[in-house]
Amino acid sequence: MRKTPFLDFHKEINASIGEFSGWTMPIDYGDMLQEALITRKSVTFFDISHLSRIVVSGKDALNFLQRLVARDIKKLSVGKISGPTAFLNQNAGFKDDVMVYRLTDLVFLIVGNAINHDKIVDWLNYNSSNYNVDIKDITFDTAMLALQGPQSTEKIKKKIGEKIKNLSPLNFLTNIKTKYGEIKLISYSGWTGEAGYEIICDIDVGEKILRDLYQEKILPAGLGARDILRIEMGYNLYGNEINENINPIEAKYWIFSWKKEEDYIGKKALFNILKNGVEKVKYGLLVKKGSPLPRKGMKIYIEDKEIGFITSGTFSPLLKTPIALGYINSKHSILGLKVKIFKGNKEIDAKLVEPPFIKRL
Amino acid sequence: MTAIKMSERIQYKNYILLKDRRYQDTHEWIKIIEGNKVRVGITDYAQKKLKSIVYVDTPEVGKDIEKGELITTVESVKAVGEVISPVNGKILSFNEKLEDDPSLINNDPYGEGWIVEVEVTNPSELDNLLDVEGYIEVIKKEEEE
Repeated sequence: MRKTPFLDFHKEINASIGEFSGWTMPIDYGDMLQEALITRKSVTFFDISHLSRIVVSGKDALNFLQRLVARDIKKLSVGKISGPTAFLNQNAGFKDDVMVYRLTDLVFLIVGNAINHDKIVDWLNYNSSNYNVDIKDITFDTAMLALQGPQSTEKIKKKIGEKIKNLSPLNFLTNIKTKYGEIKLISYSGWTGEAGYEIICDIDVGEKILRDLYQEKILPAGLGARDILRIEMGYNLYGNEINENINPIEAKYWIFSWKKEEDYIGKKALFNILKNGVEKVKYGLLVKKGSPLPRKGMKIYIEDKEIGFITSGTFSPLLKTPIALGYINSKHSILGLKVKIFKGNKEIDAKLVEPPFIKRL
Repeated sequence: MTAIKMSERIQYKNYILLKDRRYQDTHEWIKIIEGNKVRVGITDYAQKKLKSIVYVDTPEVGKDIEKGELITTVESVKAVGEVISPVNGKILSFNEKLEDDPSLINNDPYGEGWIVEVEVTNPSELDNLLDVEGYIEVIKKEEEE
């Protein structure tokens, strides 16, 4: 089992430790609903060191990644993160959804899902034979932290300095000297729908940052809260909403550039799918207040006809009601449609909505 | 009316137990209110394991239940807990406050967070249930796993 380098720190501050994607990580610090709410209302910090971090560099780095990801990254400026993109398989299913950072002209950082780490390292190596590239996995030598919430800019400025203040969404700075030591990268990004920052640094620097934030009375939030926040925004989690057998069109996940000229793996299949249409599409399900929680795998019905299934369900502490994400057969792809989710012999009333469930950013 | 005694609080690790009631190894508490009438809820240990409770299923009031039978389910974001009847009897009432605020179970598992009132067929059944020391042994065993 892999584990966050800060496990001792999390235990010290009474985290509940659990497993996520093969990693031992903090799941919550007592109350994940409260942690999600505080992130929406003020600010929290997260340890997200489980995310995979892979540096691709070399003469052919751009062409290599252009061949592997669905977004056009040749116009991506140095110091910017691409919007969400993905490695697709030949059928246009998701191998992994990732962010691509352009560190310099010929050096890129790929941040992806922990669960796909080994698969993607293999995939990159497997496809690299005709390219002059160097693939370096820095996941285990670095830490990744996030500070998220409407007060995050104010806090980060106080900690790291004024140079942060002009950072706009999906922009980053590198090699910043701070009182903690050097921060390799800080970006305006996150997965919560709030203003926020993500930091990549050496492990000893990360530990100093975590301890300092905690001493400053900024509250920690665990992966449980992170899951609630991303479902409230309708963001896809690999293994739930997306996998090798789901394509970006079904997921309404716009990880590709419509006008990208270069060929990439999965492109042909993707445009065939666009032409021929899809069998199912992703929706949000707003659940009637006071209902039990819809959970992954539950079936969605209209009367006695099965029309879809749930991929993620949770409770929104902000809306005070259960919410879910799932897939609906295309014939019933009708916004506002009232449906029933079957939980054992119980029916849960819900309505098809387009996420986000809450308006942010 | 019996006089209300301050119940003695016992702490094991991070978990509170009260001496004025009995326990079942599936993490329910049971306490006599008066005569044959008892209250049933889940223990502090159980609510701490489940965490933020967001839903309590409404049980069928008036229903006869047997010891070991499912009374209702309690859900948090990450888990579903079962409330198993510690005795034979009949469900007299459900704590309707839980419909609006299931987190009462987290905030006050032994008081405001009670779940059902039951008419026990034979109150001496409670003697067969666990006392504080017996229930601490159950927690110990689970914590070892």
